[in-house]
Amino acid sequence: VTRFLVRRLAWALFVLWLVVSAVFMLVHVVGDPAVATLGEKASGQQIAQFRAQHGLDRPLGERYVTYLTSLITLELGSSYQDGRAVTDLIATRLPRTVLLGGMALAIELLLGLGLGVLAAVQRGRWADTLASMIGLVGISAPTFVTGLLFLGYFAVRLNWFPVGGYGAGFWEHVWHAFLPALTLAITGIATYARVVRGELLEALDSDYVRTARAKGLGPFRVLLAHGLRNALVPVVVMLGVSLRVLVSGAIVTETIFAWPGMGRLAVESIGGLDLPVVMALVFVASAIVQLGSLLADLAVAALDPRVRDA
Amino acid sequence: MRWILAASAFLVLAGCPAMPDGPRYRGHGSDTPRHGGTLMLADESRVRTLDPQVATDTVSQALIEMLFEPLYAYDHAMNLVPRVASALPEVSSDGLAFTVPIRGDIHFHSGRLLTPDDVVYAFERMLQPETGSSAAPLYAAIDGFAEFRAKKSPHVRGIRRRGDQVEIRLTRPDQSFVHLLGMRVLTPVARENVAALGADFARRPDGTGPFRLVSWDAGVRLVLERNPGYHQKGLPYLDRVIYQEGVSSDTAFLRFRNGQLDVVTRMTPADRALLTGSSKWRPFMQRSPTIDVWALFMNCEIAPFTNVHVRRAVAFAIDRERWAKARSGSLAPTGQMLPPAIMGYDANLPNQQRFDPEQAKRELALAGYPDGLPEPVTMWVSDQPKARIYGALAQADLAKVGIQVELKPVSFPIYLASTATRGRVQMFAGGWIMDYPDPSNFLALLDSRGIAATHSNNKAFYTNPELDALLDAALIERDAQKRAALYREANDIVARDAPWAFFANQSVPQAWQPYVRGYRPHPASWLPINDVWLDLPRERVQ
Repeated sequence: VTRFLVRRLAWALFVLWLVVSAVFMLVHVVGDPAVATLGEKASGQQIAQFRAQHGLDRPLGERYVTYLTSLITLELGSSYQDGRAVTDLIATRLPRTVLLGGMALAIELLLGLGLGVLAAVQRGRWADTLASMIGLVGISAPTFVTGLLFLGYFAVRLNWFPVGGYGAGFWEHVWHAFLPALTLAITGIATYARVVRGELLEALDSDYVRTARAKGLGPFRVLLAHGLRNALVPVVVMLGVSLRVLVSGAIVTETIFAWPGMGRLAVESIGGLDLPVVMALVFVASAIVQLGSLLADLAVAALDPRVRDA
Repeated sequence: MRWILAASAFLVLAGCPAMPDGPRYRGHGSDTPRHGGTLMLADESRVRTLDPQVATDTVSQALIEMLFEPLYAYDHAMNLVPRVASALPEVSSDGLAFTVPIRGDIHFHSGRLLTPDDVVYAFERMLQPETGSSAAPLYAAIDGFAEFRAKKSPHVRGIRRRGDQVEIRLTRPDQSFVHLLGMRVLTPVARENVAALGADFARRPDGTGPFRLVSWDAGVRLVLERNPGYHQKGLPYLDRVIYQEGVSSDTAFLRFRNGQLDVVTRMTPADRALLTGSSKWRPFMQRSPTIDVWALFMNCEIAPFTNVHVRRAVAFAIDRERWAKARSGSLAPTGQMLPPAIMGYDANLPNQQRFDPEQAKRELALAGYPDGLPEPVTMWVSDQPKARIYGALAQADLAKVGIQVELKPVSFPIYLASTATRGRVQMFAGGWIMDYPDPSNFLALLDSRGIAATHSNNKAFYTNPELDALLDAALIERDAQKRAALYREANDIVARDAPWAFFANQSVPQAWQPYVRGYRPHPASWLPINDVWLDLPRERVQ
């Protein structure tokens, strides 16, 4: 188990290094942050002053080493745009994205599993058709379309929810997060429903379920104890994938719903080439995704010894 | 079961109220201004700083206007009006000294009286290189500017307090200087507040304006409340202002239609069309008279734009009316550099650029290309949506006269840096939004002495000694009529030589809720809310 853990951890760190290094090189060739920050009316002298002040006049290799050191020491500098400490920015924005992502994940699991089970049990009947329809829409409709539709319909037309924003106080945050979380969760709901339906149908047709039924177990117990339990392994694997989708989906969803989390900060920072913030966000987002994958792998290994011993 | 499902879905949809086609709320019906209420504002941009000496972006400046009183401001007709100053500046007979009398009844939010020393301090703070104000180089004519910037002197020799006045001395006459006194970067700040807060001054400054800052949840909202000690008695009317940051234009517009936002200033073309097409919204809309100019910039150092006739061909090929329609009425077509509100503008300018495709072909023939240009020209477009639209429009119009255009899409930061680099960009669509309402602020962009290898001020790399001489003469001319004539001549030369093919002044509509009273878009102020009052309680109509 320790060997598996060490191997998996080393891999996660390697991927993390690869991602931040690639993005570092990429953002340093897409334009001059000094011009992007100071605007076109800045003089050459001001641009030079800005570049010297932020070390942008030093060789790329030197900047790369400084960047890696800053990641290790967690001294991430301050934003070019408004001078705020990057660690403060992340510390403020991360919990908001976690709240949004957490709610989205809960909705995904609740509705996804529910629909999947319903579709399997009602195979070929109306619930199955409904689940397929939701699946089709959820997987194919882009987030920015569903997001705007939800806003236009539930918030403006029906006036049930606020038109984006964050609110004041925890419960208001939750209330404001509902529509964006639902938007983020749509793809996940569809995917979970499909997987659970497929796995359950396979399980319900299997010999051990037939045996359980023959032994006189009730249908509910058969479904939960024998069917759903076996269908959960792929769901756990998918949790890791979900995290990736939630992190990337947050960029669009937070922008549409004016949710002040990491996704929107990313949009603002990338647009203005605010390198310290962009690089810190890439690091945090990759770390979250890697952590998610790691936890999912560990969970699967715990559930399935074949993975652990491979 | 399927039928039941379909029927319930239909009933749910049919039972929903429709999207409002006009304002959701109206005012109570009062015509007398009253105090109270909270004005809700939002925009996609984050407020970068509340430091008046540093802010250059529109949003930060708008918030600073609410929190601070500037030295001078502009009225709707763009006349300079005193604010912290008690009168317009007095100019000495040699045109070198400007005396600004300072009011003695303005207090900071902390309660301390503002003095002429605060004005001098803000001036020097803005000029200090460490402050990083991009406006500082504009004040190079002040006596002692260079020594102060080079740290050879602790103070600027030419800026002094004299009793309840501040005197500014220049080394050379500059008739545009009076407008520089109207720039927001000179807004007085409290020295002790800057010293105590350091970098935090930009986030919770002590101001003198109609509102004071209550809280700023970064990236979410700023809450402002009425300053009861504001020197203009009775103002402001609003109790609170909430500015929400980072709300995309789409979302802001939905909120506006829902009555959750009181003023909307940025709209997509579709949203603009929706409001202008509604008779219910039309009374609550007005075009914002921004003072700017937009054009196709042609690099006069790169062929074929080294030839004036090719440049003129481009200027004649642009169908400006069509461009305005393509932008849903947010553009007012123009064929000259100076906007209508600026001295030197002439609606009947002799060489004013205009749409004439046949003349464009004749100009190409004069340039030696009777069958059109043999090679395509490359137009750089940034990733901003309107830049892509301008690219497509230019491509279509120029192709009709025999100029093929290849678009080169680049990110906005690359676009900014490249267009200011000598010898790099052949053509691009760009513009200029005024810093101060003087023709020199526009025409200096084509002064050959502004050409540099990088960060060039003159991005068309246009050289004309005749224009340079005219601009020098106009800058020191004290007779207003003669000065206007000089700028008109310069404006005409630029239209004739066409380093820029002008196409429009922006004219972006703003809209407000029916219960928002006294709101009037301003040419130099993005959210002018000083006189705004709310006709409350509002009543729901849709």
